[in-house]
Amino acid sequence: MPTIASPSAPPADRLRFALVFLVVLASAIGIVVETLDVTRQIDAQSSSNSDNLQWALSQTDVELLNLEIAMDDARHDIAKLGKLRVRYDVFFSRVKTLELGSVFTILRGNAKMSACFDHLKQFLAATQPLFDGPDPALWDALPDLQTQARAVMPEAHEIALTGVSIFAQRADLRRADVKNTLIQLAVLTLVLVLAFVALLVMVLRLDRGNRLKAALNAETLARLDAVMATSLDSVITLDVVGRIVDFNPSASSTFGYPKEQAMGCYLSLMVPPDAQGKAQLPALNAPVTKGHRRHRITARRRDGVDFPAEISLSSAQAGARSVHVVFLRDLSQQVAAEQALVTARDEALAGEKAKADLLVVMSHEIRTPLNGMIGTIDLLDGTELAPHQREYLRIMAASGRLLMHHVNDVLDIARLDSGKAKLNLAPLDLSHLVGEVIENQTPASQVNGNTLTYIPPTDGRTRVIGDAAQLRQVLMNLVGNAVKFTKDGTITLQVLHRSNRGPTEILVRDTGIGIVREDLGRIFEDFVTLDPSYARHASGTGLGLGIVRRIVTRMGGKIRVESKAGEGSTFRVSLPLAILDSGDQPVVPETPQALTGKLSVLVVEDNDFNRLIVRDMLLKEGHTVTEATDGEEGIAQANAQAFDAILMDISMPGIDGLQAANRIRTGNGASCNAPIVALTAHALQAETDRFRAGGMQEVLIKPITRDTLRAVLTGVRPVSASPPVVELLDRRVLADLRTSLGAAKAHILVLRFLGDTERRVADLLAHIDDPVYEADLMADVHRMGGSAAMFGAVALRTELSAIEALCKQGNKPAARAAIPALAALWQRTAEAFRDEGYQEDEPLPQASNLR
Amino acid sequence: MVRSLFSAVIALFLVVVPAHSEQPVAKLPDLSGPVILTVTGLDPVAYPGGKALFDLAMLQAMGQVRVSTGSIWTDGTHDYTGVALSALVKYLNIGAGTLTLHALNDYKADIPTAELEDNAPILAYDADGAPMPVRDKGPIWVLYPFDGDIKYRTDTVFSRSVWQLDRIDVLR
Repeated sequence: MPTIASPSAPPADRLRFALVFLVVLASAIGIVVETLDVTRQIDAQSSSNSDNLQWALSQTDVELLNLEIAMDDARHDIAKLGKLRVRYDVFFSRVKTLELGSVFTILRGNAKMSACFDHLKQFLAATQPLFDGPDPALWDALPDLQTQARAVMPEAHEIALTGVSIFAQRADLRRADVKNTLIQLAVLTLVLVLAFVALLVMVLRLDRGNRLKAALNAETLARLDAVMATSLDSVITLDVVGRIVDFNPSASSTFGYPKEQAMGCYLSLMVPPDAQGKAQLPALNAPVTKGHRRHRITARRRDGVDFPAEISLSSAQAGARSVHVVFLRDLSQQVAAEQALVTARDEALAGEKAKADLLVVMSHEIRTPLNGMIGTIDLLDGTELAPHQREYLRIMAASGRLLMHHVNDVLDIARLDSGKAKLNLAPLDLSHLVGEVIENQTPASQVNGNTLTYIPPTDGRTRVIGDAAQLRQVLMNLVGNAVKFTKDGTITLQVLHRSNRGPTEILVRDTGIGIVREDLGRIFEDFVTLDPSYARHASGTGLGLGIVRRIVTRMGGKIRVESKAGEGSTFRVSLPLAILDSGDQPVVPETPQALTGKLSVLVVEDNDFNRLIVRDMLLKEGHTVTEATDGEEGIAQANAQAFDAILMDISMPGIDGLQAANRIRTGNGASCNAPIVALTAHALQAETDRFRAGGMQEVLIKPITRDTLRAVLTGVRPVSASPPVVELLDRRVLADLRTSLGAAKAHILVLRFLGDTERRVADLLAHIDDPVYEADLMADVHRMGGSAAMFGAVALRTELSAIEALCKQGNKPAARAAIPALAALWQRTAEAFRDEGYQEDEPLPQASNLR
Repeated sequence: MVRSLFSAVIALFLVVVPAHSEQPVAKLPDLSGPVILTVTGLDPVAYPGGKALFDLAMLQAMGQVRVSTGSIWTDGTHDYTGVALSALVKYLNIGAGTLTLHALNDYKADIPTAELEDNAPILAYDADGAPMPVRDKGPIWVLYPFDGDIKYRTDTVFSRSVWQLDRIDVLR
């Protein structure tokens, strides 16, 4: 419900009101004061001063005149002396009154008046003894008295006149006072009236504003009612304790309660507590927060059916009360739709996964018999054959290799897509890598009459850090394609750095048939083989470029293609590789050492066929071979006899290769220190890491050829008596490092690596029992593994990879259990580094240049 | 002393008796001193010639009221003694009507009997313990307690404050 705030005047209005009110108050007070003043003045006039003073004064004149007349009368009739005495007393009283009466004080201050008074008093004083005396004396004195009276008559007259003028002045002054007061009163009254008018105007305006507001509110309310009525969501308004005070039509239809029935009910009727008896909604008396609180809840209809709903609570302040508004949306359909979608997606994903799994399984399964075929062909090639038979055999071998190539492609895609593929970063020389590829592709190239050329970077910096194997695969695929689609042309490989710090670009340019514009966009997709006419030129699964794209993306790079049909194509691989300052030192390529000496080799392989092939290959190389058909037998043989090397198949029934290798290693048999080479069709990197961690020195991925077999047997060396894993350092890596960075810089980096790893190993040991630390364990060993690879600490790196693999499998306890052994290995590795001369106190030949 | 006591007894008797009976002829006490107040215009049946004469003793016997007040015509406050005019009106059994107060100095003023109060005005004949001489507003001053209330300080009151009173004419 809308909150209608009680209308309150804005502050400015309130201030205006206060001002007008103050004016009204002040005016009213002023009027009261003035009115009192007027009353006082009127009172004053109506009292003391208003006596008929002029009468009293003029009476002085009159009474003196009466006295004189009475004297005259008495002179003619002595009987009237009594009357004369009364007249005298009356006049006497008059003068005395004028002399003493407070009302005449003002007159007495007048100098002229004073003089007149004095004369009158002198007259009275002079005549009083006569009037108090006997009649005859008075009568005799009458003529003289009459003269005296006449003499003072002007004085009495003067008193009357002066009094008139003085009192007239005073009356004027007083009238002026009254007038002033009345004017002030009128002004104040006017102000009061104006203030009232102002008040009236303001009240009218306020009233109009309120009417307008009320109309607006009514309109808003009507609109809100319409919104509520037509809302698809239920809108329920609750009072402060959670009782329903409004219930819109949608709520009625959703819950099945008519509005009248719902009103006054508690919301918990429709949103009951959950199965555990816990309220689904927060307490309403929780602190009122602005905005919405959304909750997924289960609501209950009147017929008892529960349904999922989304509820949003908001609180509003209606005057002093707060109300709660609940918006509720029936999610039954949405939830059902979501569920259907999830199911559909899960099914689709499961289907996809099943397909991918099938592909991988099929590939694996194909590889094993294929392995047998290729091996047999290889063996057959070593026997006496007629020329045409040898030609058939060559075709068979080529077909077999092609098939193997396709299967490997499929497995590569699966591996790359699985996300398990990891980059094996190490320093490498791009020129060397390109050289290998050119060397490899030259025979095929020559068949098509093509020339392969290489343009190295202008600055000669070809040493980078990268994954050589993957990079090689990329180049092989690109150059292989170029060779396939070019006839009598030129294929150019170019390495260049876009800037001093990369990215590094590798270009593969050919002058072949090119690609039409429409196809350029999709050549990196899987299973793409272009125009059927290509089939005449080459065959393929169409996975090659898909693999290239995946690897390049995995390395954080990009691949682009520019091409024009009939003129050729350019593939441009851009990679963010760390460029090492190589100087001019060429890298000495790895040259496989010629096999020296005949070895006694134990072959543990359950598949008779495969075992036969490997045995024959070994025999051909001049080695002596002992065979074992399963893990158990292999262990027994190894314990009984000291072999120079053991070839161990991984997947065997019963004791598998990994377990067998472990038993041989940990046992005290005659061959416990012999190098063990894993034979496997599992090409996943994680797997091979696991084998290495399991005590195997090398991994030989099937199909096995004489070349690969020879290479592996050349590389392996017997495990030194104790500790078992011998090769702590790869001195070639260290040599490379010195070559590319300079001895001094390399020295400092190695020392830093030693210190850093020392600290990390100590950390691992310190946290060995801390379960919280487990989350970081994997990241830690991964980082350490990267460093160890960079600095040639191969044994350490192998051990770290093993621990990382355990972590990945979720086998944290095993991973933690391996840490003490890791620490011991680290001690030996550090010792080996020190033996190489990497010590803190070792004097540095070029130390001064480093700063 | 004996005479004044006697007069007081008579006066008391007179005060009571006329009020109770509408006797045609009222008997006023005999004069024992000079007449200081003459009342005219009375019922000629009750008072021969419609006239009544009063000396000081008769007024004193009619009940004495003391007023201490100043006035605009005097200097300071004085103690006055007199008889309430209302008492005199009652004494003479005057009903509704108007009294015209005459002064020796020929001044006069009217008072309706309805406007008489119990103790205001009084016919003051004694100021500060001495009879009031004509030379100082005597023998009788129609006196209001001016200081007692503002209502006694109006023009009307002042005009009715007749001094040197010697005659009251009743207009019925």
